[in-house]
Amino acid sequence: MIIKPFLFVFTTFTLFSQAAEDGKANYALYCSACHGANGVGPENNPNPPLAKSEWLQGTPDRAISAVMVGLKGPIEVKGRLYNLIMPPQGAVLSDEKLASILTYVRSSFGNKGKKVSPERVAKVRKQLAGRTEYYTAGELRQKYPISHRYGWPRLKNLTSRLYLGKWEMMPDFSKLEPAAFEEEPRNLVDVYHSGGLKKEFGMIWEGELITKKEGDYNAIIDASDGARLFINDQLVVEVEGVGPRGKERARRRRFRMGKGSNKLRLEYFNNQGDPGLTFMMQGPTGKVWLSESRLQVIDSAPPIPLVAEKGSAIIYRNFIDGARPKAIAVGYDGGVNHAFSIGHLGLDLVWQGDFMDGGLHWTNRGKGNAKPKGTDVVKLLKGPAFATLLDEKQAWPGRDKTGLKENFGGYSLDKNGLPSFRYTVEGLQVQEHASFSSAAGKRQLVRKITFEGTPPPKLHMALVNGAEVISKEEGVFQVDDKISLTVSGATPMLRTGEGADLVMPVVSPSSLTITYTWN
Amino acid sequence: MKTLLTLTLSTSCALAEYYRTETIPLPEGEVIEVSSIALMPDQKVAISGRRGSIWVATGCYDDDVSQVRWTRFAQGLHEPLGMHWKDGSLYVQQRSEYTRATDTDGDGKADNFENICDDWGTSGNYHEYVFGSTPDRNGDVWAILCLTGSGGYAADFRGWGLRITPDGQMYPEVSGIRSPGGLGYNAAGDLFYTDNQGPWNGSSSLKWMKPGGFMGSPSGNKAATKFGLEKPPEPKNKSRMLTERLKDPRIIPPAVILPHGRVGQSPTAVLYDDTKGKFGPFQGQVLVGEQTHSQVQRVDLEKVNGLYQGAVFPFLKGYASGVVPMRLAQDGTLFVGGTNRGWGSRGPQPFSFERTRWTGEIPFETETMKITSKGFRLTFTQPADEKSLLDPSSYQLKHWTYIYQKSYGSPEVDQGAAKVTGVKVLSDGRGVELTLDRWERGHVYHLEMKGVKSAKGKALWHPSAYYTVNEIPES
Repeated sequence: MIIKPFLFVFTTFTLFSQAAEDGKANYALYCSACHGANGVGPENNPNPPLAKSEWLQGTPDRAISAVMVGLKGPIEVKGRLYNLIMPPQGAVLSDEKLASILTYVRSSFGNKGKKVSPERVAKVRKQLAGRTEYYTAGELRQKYPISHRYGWPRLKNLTSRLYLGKWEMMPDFSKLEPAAFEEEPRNLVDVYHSGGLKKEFGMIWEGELITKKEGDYNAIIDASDGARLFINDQLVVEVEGVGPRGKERARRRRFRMGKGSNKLRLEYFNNQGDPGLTFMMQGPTGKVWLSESRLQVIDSAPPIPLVAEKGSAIIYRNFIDGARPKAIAVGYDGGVNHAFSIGHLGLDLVWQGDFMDGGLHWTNRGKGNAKPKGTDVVKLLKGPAFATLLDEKQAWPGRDKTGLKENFGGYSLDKNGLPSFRYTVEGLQVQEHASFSSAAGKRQLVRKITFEGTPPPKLHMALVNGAEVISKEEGVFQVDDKISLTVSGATPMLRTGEGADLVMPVVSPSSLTITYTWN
Repeated sequence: MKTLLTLTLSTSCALAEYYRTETIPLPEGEVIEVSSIALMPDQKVAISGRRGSIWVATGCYDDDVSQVRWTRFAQGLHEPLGMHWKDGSLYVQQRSEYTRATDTDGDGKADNFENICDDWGTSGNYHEYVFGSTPDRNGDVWAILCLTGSGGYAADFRGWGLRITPDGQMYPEVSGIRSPGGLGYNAAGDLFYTDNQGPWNGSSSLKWMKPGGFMGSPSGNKAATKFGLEKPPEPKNKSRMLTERLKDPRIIPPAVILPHGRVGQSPTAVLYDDTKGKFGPFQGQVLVGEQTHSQVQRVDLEKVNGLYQGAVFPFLKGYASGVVPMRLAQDGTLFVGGTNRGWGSRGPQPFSFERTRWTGEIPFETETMKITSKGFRLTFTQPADEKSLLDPSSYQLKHWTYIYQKSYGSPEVDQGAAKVTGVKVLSDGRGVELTLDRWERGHVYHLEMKGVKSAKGKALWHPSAYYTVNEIPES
């Protein structure tokens, strides 16, 4: 017996007119796993806190929107950078449920926001109908500006002046004519109020810094390029010269301020590169950001250095910057490293010094490509390692379309833990093994390759493709001015043109040794 | 307030009374976000971590788990999410490769890593997880590939279920996968996986990977064009699963919907109880891990008119981290691995390895829930109080479905309430047949049985069940 579907849907729907929603229970069910039952969660929770979050202040529409369509990408909450995805919940949560959750969140964990009505949620839902894009923090912030006024001291009557010019140190602005004058009604310092200039400009902000208490304050400034802060006409703190923002240049200075109005003047210039200025105050009444942009959180992932044991090698199989997605990186004790592409059967990268850091992939969701941790990285191959060349003038295939049947067979570890890779190219069987060496104090990666079986006709192997190769000395090839490469057991051809390459015909059976020596 | 407190206490006591969970200590100073578990001969247990290492332990079955000893078997693998032992090797499903890892010289460490199959793509996106199964009845294994970023297609066979033969041949068998959390077999040897709420998945669910079947998300259909495969269905947006699958029978509806929020938020591992009673009274049934809620759910499956369906019951809870892999050993030890990196969990630990055993005490619980032409037949683990069984108000039934749509998730829609119009107690007093006033096919039925008491006057350990009605038997 099958009853037609949907026959009773509309008659029965009213039986479920919404009972009062329990915001706390709904929060526990839908939100607490990530944001914590207490609005914070465990220590080092990669999900941002809701307790006293500035994103929950003021209009509820900001939070409604984020929950409704989701939020993606980096977001700063309470001075810390987070970078996860908040999946959209609009389809799951009814207006009543979402209103109950936000009402609960806005009145719990130390938050003091007003009640959110289901009608308000419905209104935002209507505005966002059809939207499938996640919000980014920037877009959300632009639509629903966040007041920084949740702490003291505060800026008041802030104005800015814009100057044009290229300087390497702070100019004497008194001798310059401003190109523009602005009132800053949001009372926040913002270098993007330069009228869209990306380089070669300077700015001065002037206004009042209002304190609630007399006491010791810290001013923290980070700037690219220079900045200096005067309070009551006294120089308090300065970031000198040219350079990017970061730990190295950020400056903190402690000073004393009285209660009430203090005269503020902040000078800034940008030579070139990304403009940026962050300005924070800490004092007896807490800390507060007085700039639109905030401190970059540098190295938010803890370092997890990957180091080979003595005399051995360490393997890291993951997404590596400059190598193709299916790559195996190997770090050899002694400080030489390579990334072998199993999709293309060749060395994508070699570098010296430290191997890799697991911090990027092994914290949070592990997004992105991890950079080799060492130095003098050389990208050896743009295209495949093996291809058939009908004549020696034929260009090396730039991409992976060679039509050759290739198979990566795997690797074995010798008694020291050093891997030997094995693979086939049609009927050709290849084994290769690399190790650390040194000569005249220079590090070397010594790679031994053995060919057996029957290669397809005219099979060539590329040792370098798409990098800069020059040869000043017979049989010695300088690659990207970082390493020299020599081959014994075969004679490679240096072919110049658009992206040089170093290729050789494959002879089987044979063995050859390739030595990469860092300059 | 007082009642609530008593209730909470009695629930957690009840859990410890029937099932006991213990922490198995991991090697000190190591971060092992447990991502797969393999049972080995001589009572050894292997686990892999998301950071790519494999560790082998002895002592995981002993009474005193403080004596567990670990050795590192391998490192440098790419986030393994599936592992089993066969013929002297550990078979590991890495993100970009299905690998046989072997210790050829007997020093306890793998020294040979053989690529068995790597014929699928990875674009470098962190979300392109690949989960691997144990061998099926033919000796093949299955890999299921998460979509790029959990909704897109940027590399070969994202969103497909691939069958891999022992000699490394790969056959794309199942399309329409979105974001899996694990896979495993039922007692009949059919393969199931869990998919997570998101695009084309109104709720998370347990799905039957019927070969040739389409699991619901068309994002991976691009592979069909590139590799000359039969074009999978293109379901209509904002429809219902029932409507779409009646149009195209290749669309396999979720066997058991795990209603989002109500019974979890991120289902993971799938296995069935083959311990012949050593893990309690639910032999032959399926267990499903739950990452966000740090729980294990129990599923009773049946096949009706050629499709799987059944009920999910809350089961075990309170795990230390987000439950991801599980293995059930023949002696009735359930090994549970945990990680909550990147995805929060109720269990507060960043990673964990635990074991759960049945104490021998039988809880008063719904043992099976099967559909009849007119309602449900329930059996209980212990004799029930007839008076409570016969009282129609002992049962509350609500039902709903989800919008089958491209956008993320779905509210519960088309809600209704079913009325119990008849109750018949089974002859042994351990079950009941309920007759309902009508059916709504394609809906999840939430049965609440707060009124049902055991012969000794006990309430059900878990009075809730959620049954997915794909099909209704003729009689």
